[in-house]
Amino acid sequence: MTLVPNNEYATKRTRMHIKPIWRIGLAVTLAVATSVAAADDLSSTNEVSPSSLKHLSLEALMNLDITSVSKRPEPYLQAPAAIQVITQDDIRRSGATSIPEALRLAPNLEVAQVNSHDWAISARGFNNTSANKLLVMIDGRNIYTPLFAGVFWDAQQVLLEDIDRIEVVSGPGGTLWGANAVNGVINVVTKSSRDTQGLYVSGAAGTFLQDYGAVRYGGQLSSNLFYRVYAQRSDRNGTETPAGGTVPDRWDMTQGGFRMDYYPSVSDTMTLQGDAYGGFEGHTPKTGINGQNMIGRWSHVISPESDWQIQAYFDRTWRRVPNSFSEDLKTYDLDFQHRFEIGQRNNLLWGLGYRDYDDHTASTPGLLFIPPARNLQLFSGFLQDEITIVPEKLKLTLGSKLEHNDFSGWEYQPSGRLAWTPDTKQTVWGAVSRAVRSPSRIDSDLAARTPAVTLVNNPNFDSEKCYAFELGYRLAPRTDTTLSVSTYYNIYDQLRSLDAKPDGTLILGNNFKGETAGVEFSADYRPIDRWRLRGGYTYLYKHLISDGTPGVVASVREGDDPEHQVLIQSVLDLPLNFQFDCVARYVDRLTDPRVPAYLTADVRLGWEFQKHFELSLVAQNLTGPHGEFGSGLTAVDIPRSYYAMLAYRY
Amino acid sequence: MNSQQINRLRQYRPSGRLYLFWLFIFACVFPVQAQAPSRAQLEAAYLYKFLPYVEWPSQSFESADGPFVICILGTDPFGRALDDLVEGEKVKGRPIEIRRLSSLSRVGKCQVLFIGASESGRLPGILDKLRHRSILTVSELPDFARSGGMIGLVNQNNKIRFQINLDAAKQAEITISSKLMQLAQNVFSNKRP
Repeated sequence: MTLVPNNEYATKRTRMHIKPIWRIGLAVTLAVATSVAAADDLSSTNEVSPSSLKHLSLEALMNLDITSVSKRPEPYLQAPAAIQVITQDDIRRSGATSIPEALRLAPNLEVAQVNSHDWAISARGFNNTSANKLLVMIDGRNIYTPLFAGVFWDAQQVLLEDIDRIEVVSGPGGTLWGANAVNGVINVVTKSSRDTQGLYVSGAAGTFLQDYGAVRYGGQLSSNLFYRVYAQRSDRNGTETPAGGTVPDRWDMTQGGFRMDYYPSVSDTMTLQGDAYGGFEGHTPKTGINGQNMIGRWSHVISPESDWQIQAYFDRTWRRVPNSFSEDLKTYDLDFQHRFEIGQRNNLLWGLGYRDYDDHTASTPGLLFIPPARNLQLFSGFLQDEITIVPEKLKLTLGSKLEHNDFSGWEYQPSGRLAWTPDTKQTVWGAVSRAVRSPSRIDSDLAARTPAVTLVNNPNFDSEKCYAFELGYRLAPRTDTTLSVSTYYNIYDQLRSLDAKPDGTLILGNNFKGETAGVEFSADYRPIDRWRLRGGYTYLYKHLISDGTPGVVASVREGDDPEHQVLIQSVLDLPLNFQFDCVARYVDRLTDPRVPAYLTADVRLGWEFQKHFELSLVAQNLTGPHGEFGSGLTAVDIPRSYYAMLAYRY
Repeated sequence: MNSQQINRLRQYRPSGRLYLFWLFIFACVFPVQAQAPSRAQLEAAYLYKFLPYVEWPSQSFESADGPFVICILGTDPFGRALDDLVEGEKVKGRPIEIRRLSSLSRVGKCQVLFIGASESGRLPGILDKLRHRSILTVSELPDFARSGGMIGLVNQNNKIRFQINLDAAKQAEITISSKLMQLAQNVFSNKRP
């Protein structure tokens, strides 16, 4: 549920109307010209071919510069789950300027920009500004709010340069990660400060991303103690109404933070990191947000067969929407996990977790939480055994999470996964899981008293259940080529519904059910060393109905999802250190509320010069303004935009 | 304009626009050739180039003219690069063979073991098991040479350099030539030479 009030948008500004077809034509001409020029350059370039390297001396090898192309880590090939990995290189070359924009690069996610500062992000359906069936973490820190079991994406700013990778799992991950990992898990992993040594400075100016500046410095305090500090600031412009007016949703964010990594011995790694941020959204009176967080983690390898990890974090978020709502949330979390092998066949992983939420809200009669403040505790434990049935060929993973929350009590989330690896190039996997979406404050505590509607809170709201059946296949015919197909069939029960009580008041209930099915196809291909293609296609079928309980009015915000989605990313290195990249995506129409299908692309021209500088010229949303989510008064168009960025790395 | 008209406008897509869009996509993925090597290609070249500068005890080969066996444990970053590079080549009269291992059980026939990134957590155990065997261990894992590996490959400002742990090599009865040590970024040793 969006917590930002609806705005009546001014439509004073008139737009220049250049026929889109000419704008595209111009872009094509430019692109072809660039490519042809690049091809011409080839004949005069002295290339180093891979097999010619062996004729060079060791000294010559030592003086060669390498390309900074990162590789997709291989262990993912054998994972018995629908996992996609977005690498640092994918992000940098896409022109993405924020985490949600980077998440567009995962073919198995639905990402829709709602307005300048809000996004709807989900996997396998149920997409919404308050999408609640996805678990999201940044370096192991859970970032979803117990307010609506979803993520305030505007508050999730990470220095993109320091991201190592983003792992995106579609499908239930509840056995390991716990409640909310019903339809997927996103894990943003930043680099160790050991790998971000030196100075990074960047600045950008543009139309939608109006200005951006970032600085990071990484240093070394002793031979095994590393650190980095960073700060960044962005100002983003407002979106447009379909009629061409401006929407008052411009916003700014300022964030700073640090990370320290200590390697006291070969078998120990300790990390301490923290961030603080603040920003304002909209016009006067502005929505204000800020937050602080800090996490500490210690991993220890006891032996090749056994290791453990302990982590603790604190996270505070504050948000005030004038005349509507405010929230002050503090989260304290402690986690322990331990892995050990029993004999040759059993690899056990178990863990314990405790979390405390201290949540204070202040609201208006139109939207209020009863009680206004809550202290919520979460206890959890999990056990998982990876059983080798046939060495190097067949593995069975069985496990379950057991969790206790203050709303619905004990919840269990078991799963069984089978992976068959006939050879190192392919894996066939299947899984059966039960996952739950435990109640959030919006389900249990939300009430509204307006002349038109009375919504009463429902302390008995139960968790939503999902039974998921998955089958997948992954093939890596060569190390630079991977193909993956995942299929699923999910049965949902006790989904959130809006019910009318006999006295005419409304209440949230658990009286919807349904099923989804789908296919996720993705591929990664490098035709030649300097040209990489990746992308995917997803198909989703979703059918939800009332379970027959009298008084059910509707399902509540169970998503607005496209049936088809296509993504293609092309990353191309040109001679003379030029780069030409593009990301194209097609998103099918949404039905309720209606949003037309759209096809658009982001294009980036990059140039690395003087060894340490990188200039990027980026055009985003090339086919022009289009809406991505919502209709009526909240519908906005995301404009076509341009920005230029200069980065310095030393 | 009412909202229906606006919606109709938003759906309007001239067909030529789609065609041009795809033309554009193809234009922007126009293929060109490579220029600088990737890290994996360069490291593959290093593995091959190290061979002449290292001496193994003669009993570590299968026969007098038996091949050099370069083994890769865990993640293989090279793909075909290493195979292509050594194909048909001979060093000190020996052909070169590449083998990919999924566990240490068949490590006995290797002269060189490249330890992939996936083995990071198991590294202390692996090095422990190899301690007295005449196998040159090479890896790009951080702090590899300091942690008891023989040659660690490190990325320094986009160039690949290497570090040598002399004690680890000596313990395994492997002799590393002084030329290699001169070129190394770091040589770790507790004993003065």
